[in-house]
Amino acid sequence: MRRSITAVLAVVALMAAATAGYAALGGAHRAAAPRAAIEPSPVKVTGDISGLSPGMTASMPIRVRNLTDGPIRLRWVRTNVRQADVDCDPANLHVEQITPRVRIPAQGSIDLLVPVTLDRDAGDFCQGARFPLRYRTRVNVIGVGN
Amino acid sequence: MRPRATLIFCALVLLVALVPAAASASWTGSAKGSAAAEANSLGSASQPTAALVNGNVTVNWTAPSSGAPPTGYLVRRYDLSGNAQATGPGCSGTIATTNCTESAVPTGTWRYRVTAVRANWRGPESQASASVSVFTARTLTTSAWNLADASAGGSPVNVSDQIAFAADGRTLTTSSPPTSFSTNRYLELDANGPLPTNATPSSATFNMRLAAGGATLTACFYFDVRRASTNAVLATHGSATTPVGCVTGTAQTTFSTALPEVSSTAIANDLRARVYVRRSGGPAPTIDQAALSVVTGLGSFDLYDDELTDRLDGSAEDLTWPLVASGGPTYVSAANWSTSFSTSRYLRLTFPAYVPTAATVSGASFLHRFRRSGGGSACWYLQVLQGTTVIGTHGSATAPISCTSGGSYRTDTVSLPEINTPARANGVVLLLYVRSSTGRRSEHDQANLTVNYAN
Repeated sequence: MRRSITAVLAVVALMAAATAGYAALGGAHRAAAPRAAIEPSPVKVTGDISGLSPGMTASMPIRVRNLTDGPIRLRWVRTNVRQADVDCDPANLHVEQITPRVRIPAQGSIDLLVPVTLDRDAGDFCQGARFPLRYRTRVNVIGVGN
Repeated sequence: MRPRATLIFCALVLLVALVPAAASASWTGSAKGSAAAEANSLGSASQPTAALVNGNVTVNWTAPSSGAPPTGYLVRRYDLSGNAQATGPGCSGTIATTNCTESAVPTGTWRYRVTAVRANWRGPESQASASVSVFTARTLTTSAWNLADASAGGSPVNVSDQIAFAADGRTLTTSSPPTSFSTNRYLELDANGPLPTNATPSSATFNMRLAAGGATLTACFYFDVRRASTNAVLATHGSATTPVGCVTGTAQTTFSTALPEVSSTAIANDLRARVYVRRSGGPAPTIDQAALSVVTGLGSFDLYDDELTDRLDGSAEDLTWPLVASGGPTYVSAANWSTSFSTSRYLRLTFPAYVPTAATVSGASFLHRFRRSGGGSACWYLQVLQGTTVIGTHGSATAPISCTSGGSYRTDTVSLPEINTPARANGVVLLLYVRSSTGRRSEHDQANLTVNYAN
């Protein structure tokens, strides 16, 4: 009888541990981007560049701010180039993905450089084009105390 | 002991589960914030400068002060109406520097504009440069048909070409023409060709001024216009049955005939007039003038006889103006020269106006070929006049330009740096002072003025 009670307690404890562990993650999860879209972003990325000309590669300065109360590790930053305000194909602008793998303290920020190239064959109508950018990031939420 | 162990195990499991800080989660998604990447644009190069250098046009500009850095420039040449022209070697294609020199630029007045380029990008075209006029270097060689002889001292005597100028007191009495027109009885003159190639004729005229040989006599003429180089007939004016003009009596009468066939500079510089004459009888007619005039965009040019042949009596007589070229007739001074130079004894040559007024004169020289007539030696020196003002003296009474003895001709070429403008080249007057060691005449075979100019 005592052995049975002990076994039940063990199972309950394991289940509780699993539940608590899941809850401790604060809803974060490893993959689900669709799920992430509805979650508040833990980072804010800002950064602009101007003066791009055909065949020229420039370093775009960006600032990644950790919006959480715990440290995070920034694994990569990708940039999506949207349609410009003039008839210039966004494919003319190449923005490299960066993989800094750096730790950002809670509410802290870090400055990074992202290589940006305007295609050498960008047409004459691309002069003065303004491409809106959207950043995507992957971060590891490390957690309080780390 | 076993229950206690189980409890310890569960406590450890709970401990692990309840320490969230020990967990690491990943988050992937759109970050907050907005951003943009902005392409540059090419600015305008500066207003270029354009300058004529050794017949080429050098264009200079500076890079745009803002905007994308150009990798090159396009240079375009425009006429004054704003029509783009094909840019020649040196400035065609993409220029990597901020200057270029266009060669083989056509004669004309041009402006240049520059466009910055980078790959497929083109900046705005610059302001146009100030206009630059491109000239072509030319050499004019001409004789003087206007000659005055003061070898005797005192007032000079007009001894000009008899048919060059109207109403100057000089006339040519021809050989005896037939009483009816004949195609092998004519007076033929080849005109000199002084027009620059960009002096396109707008009109041309043949001026014939003649008189019959007696008060009751009549002289008539008609003429062909031909290419001197090929003798090809361009046009016939009048005919044996309808002459261009007839004159009765000894009063000189002028007939001016338009020559629409003189439609190009090449033709104007290669003209021959063959004048058929008949008379009613008696003495031969006299001709005061047989010359051409051509009106061009660069001015009017009077053309005189480079060669003149009289075949009116069936035999050829060379009446070519002596000073045009070496060989053929020569000019012998009207009187014997003094044995020492005298400022009142000279030959005066007045040259025609053949240099366009907008031209740039870069040099001039005078070629004189002469010899003494009779024994001893003849020496000469030269003064250059613009109107009546002496602008240069070459040699002197004590140091002549040259002396020649014996029977051979001597040829001297004298540089005339004072002829440095069209105004000084056109109508320039040369005074040739001559002395003869034996007090004899001189004989002059050639007197040519050469002017180097650009227009």
